[in-house]
Amino acid sequence: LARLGLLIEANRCIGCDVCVNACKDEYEGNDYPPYSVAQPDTQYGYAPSFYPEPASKLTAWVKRGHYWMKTENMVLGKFPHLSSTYIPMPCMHCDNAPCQKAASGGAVFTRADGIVIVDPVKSSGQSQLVASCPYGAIYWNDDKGIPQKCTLCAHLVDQGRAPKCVDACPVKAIAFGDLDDPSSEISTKIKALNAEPLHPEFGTKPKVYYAGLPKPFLSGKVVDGRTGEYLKDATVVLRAGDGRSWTTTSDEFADFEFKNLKVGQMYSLEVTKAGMRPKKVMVYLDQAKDIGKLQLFPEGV
Amino acid sequence: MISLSITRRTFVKAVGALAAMLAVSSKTNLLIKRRPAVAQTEETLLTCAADGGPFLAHVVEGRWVKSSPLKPNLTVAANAYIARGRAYSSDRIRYPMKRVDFDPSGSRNTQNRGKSGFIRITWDEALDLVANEFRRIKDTYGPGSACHVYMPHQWIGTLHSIGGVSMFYPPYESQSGWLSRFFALYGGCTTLVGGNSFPAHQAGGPLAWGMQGHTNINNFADVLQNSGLVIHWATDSAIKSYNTYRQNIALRQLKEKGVRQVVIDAFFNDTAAIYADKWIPVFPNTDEAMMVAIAYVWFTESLIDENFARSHTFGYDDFKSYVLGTADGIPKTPEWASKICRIDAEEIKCLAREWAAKPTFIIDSAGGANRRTNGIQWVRLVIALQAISGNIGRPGGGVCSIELTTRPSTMKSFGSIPGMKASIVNMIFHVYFRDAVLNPPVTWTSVGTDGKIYTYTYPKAGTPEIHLMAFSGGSGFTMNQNPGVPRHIEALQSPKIEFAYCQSPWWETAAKYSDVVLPVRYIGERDDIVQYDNLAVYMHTVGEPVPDARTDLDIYTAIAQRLGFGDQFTGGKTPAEWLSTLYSAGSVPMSLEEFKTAGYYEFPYPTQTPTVRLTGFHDDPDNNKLNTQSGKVEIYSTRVKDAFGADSPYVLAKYVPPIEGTSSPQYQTYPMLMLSPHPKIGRHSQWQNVAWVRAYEQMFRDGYRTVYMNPIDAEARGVKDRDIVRVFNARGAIVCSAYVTERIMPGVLYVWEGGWYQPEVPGDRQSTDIGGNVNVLIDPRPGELTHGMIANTLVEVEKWSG
Repeated sequence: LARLGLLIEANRCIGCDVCVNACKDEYEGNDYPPYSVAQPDTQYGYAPSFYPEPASKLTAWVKRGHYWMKTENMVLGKFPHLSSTYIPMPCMHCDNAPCQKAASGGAVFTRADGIVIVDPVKSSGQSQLVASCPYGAIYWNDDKGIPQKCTLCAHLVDQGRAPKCVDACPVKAIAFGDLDDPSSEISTKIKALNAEPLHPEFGTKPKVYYAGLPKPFLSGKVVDGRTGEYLKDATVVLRAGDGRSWTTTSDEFADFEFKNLKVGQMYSLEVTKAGMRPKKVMVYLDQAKDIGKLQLFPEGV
Repeated sequence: MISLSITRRTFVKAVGALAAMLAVSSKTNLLIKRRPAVAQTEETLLTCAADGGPFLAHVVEGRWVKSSPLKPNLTVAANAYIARGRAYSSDRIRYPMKRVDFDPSGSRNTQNRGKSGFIRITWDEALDLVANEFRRIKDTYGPGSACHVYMPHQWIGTLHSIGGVSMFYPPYESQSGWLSRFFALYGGCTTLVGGNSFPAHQAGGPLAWGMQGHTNINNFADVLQNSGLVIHWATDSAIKSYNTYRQNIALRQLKEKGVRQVVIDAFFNDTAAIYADKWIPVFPNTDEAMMVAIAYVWFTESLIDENFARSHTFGYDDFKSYVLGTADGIPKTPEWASKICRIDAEEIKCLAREWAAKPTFIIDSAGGANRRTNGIQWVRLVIALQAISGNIGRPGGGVCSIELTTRPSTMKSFGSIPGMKASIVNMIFHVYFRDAVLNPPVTWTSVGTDGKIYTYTYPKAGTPEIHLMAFSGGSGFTMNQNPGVPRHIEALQSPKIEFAYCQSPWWETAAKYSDVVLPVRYIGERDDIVQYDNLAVYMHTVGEPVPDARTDLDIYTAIAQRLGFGDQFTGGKTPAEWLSTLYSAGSVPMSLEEFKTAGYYEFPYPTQTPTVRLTGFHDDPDNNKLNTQSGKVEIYSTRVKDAFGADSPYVLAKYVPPIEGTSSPQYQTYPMLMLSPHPKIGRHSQWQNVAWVRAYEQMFRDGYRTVYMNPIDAEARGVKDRDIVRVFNARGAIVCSAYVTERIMPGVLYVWEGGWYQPEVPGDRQSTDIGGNVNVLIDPRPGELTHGMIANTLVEVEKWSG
């Protein structure tokens, strides 16, 4: 039996929201029994929204509708040393789904292939499902009085197709497949990219995995302490308290950067360059940060 | 549908404003209500296409219910998924309509354009009215009194895009398609000219190297194979492309091969975040200060081959003496530039050294740095610096965009509608529209695509002023996208413009300020054919959201018939016959009927091999001259000197302080510089009325356009993320939602262009624009020679109380 899931490579995502719009295109106005009924329409306008009406003072408004797929931009660091990552977020289709526990009368069920479905009929009136999801993936449909969410496009999966967002992504950041099959493309990639669920601490065992999630970085610049000149090709070694270490060199702009670090610990940073005295500093990393210019001085000065 | 609208009008009168708003929303949405639950088996799949890409439309009971790729794994453009939202938008014009207080035989009340409402009239009434006005205006004032406005970004289709007369850049000679036939047969017209897209490339390129500034001389295969450094200059290459899919593959290939990528932009854009090795935040409009400082490093550190540079350029010694300061006593050192462009002087040196050391390709996918009054200097300096560093005509060098598309040699273009040569009586440079109407004559000077300098005057002696405005062919766009929008509205409300009509699918800005509006069919509402890359696609009719709408072609045919030249206009052929003719010119190996059933035909996508143009010039410039006066890359322009005098700052490619910048007086009052990039979804104002786009939080929040600002600037003004703010200067004010982010450089604001002009009190050009249209704030004065004005806007921002 399959256990279907997604792998989302956040570091490929360009934040174009094609996945979001493709999702809305699939589900606004369209029912897919027995998995879902149409989600509320997104609406916007100015009142009166356009003319045949005689003009009066206008007010902008928008009803954003549901986001069974949504993206969030996460920015780390301070200008001008930044990382920016978009994180596409559908339902996580948890193995240990809190919504299923919160539901009554079989309103939430897990299919044999692992897809978690909120039954559009049995879930009627069960607004407690919205709050039960720690990922905020369940939305309330006011008109219909039902909770709704991503179905991993179960109706397409039944036809042997991938979910709509997977097909739509122009940068191929979303992969779909069987997590239980170790030879599947998704399983291979999850392993190769060291992918992980979002918020594993929630303990819900999501079937949506992420690679390239934003992680704290430590960056800086190597300069000649006397002239202020920027020094490229300096060797920079970062050591963590547990004995692990990473090595890089300063680039054409004398910049160096270590990615994927853990916050809340001390690091030692050592810079060496031929003809210059080595420099060693200790850094407590509380967040992604740039430590600025590290000055090296010639030997003997 | 008809009864619905009548109910709605009655209803709105009966209730209060807020209730009316909600009622309007729910009722208009009935128009986008689809169908009760039906089994999927009733779906028909038909090919169709939007600008940006082809797609499969799923059709159920005559309604287009969703879209999907032509086949799995054939990625379509973003627009394909939102095209349904555009077709079923609540902003569709549903019937021919007339402004309530417009009486062609009595009081025209032109001052009420945009203020008063519209009533429905029949197609015959509407077409008679338009045709009569065309006839009357010409009889009264003579040829040229009708002004034609169109946009090249029309709803696509080989048959149904209606072309236009004379757009863009001097010598303003392009004419195409149905509109050229109409105005040729009508007896000529006046037309709005000038383009906002690549003004400095069009002017600076011919001066610098005898062709457009954004001419690709190295294709992508060459860049990937041979470039050592790729500079994305004022562009977000990852998203500013209509082929996002292929473009991102290319960027990833560069990254994976380890080609160094540098992004120069005031915004930490997605290219910088995902693909680049280095982000250099430059204060907008000051790039040229950095560029001449780069030349300073090259000269003083002897990083370039001086003999090569001198033999390939004209004005090398003038430039060098300017850079070193021997001419004006100011050496253009990195330290000097740093104070202007706000980039660390040492980083300028690093960039200069890396650029000189490696084959360097400069990407300008979207023209960001060319779109300002001194953009011409940027274009000329890019070409000059590439020439001096030997990057013109050599592998791995070059400028422009990532050139990916290679059309298969077996794929021939479909035919085009044979144009006729309409007599262009007068031209009006679009940013001068207001002054042309209210305060003629107006005169302007511009560099032509041939590098010559042209001067125009409106109106020419002995010719009439304009009295009729014909907005058609994507033209809803034009009034909205013209810097100085409220000024142009003032002209549109003048009694001099006796008649204005607009045909469009949507209630875009020009429609709101017209006397008669005619509903047009959008893609998927008529049969057509189109080509993309290696695909030929049949565009089926997939729905009928506005049953009363007609195609642009039908409308012009009906007007032409009333004016007595219907047969000449259509050439005696029906649209179906034309479609067959156009199709036959292509090379799809099947009949049109078979093609219609098949839906699309895929030609094999050719493999690109590295190509480099101008290698002859690189190797032997004396015997392979460029199309400039000297045959070399011109850093010094004799043409500019002859036209404007030796004292003109534009004689030499160099840094010229912008009209609006930190050194201008208004900086004291308006200390923020506003950038107005292309919208991340859609094309300019087009697509901005799709509900899903309106809910896209990067561009819209709570119904308002977003303004990106740095936390430092936000805090100084007591502005928090998501506050509603007023962005203003002496020219006007717009309302936006504050998007506070470290990604934007301090001192700079970022407002996506394309917001629909919505003055709080409709038709009142003094009132605040809640649509967030940057053109309210942008100075319509073009720069000398360049006609780019977009990134030159100083503003202030404050919390808005409403």
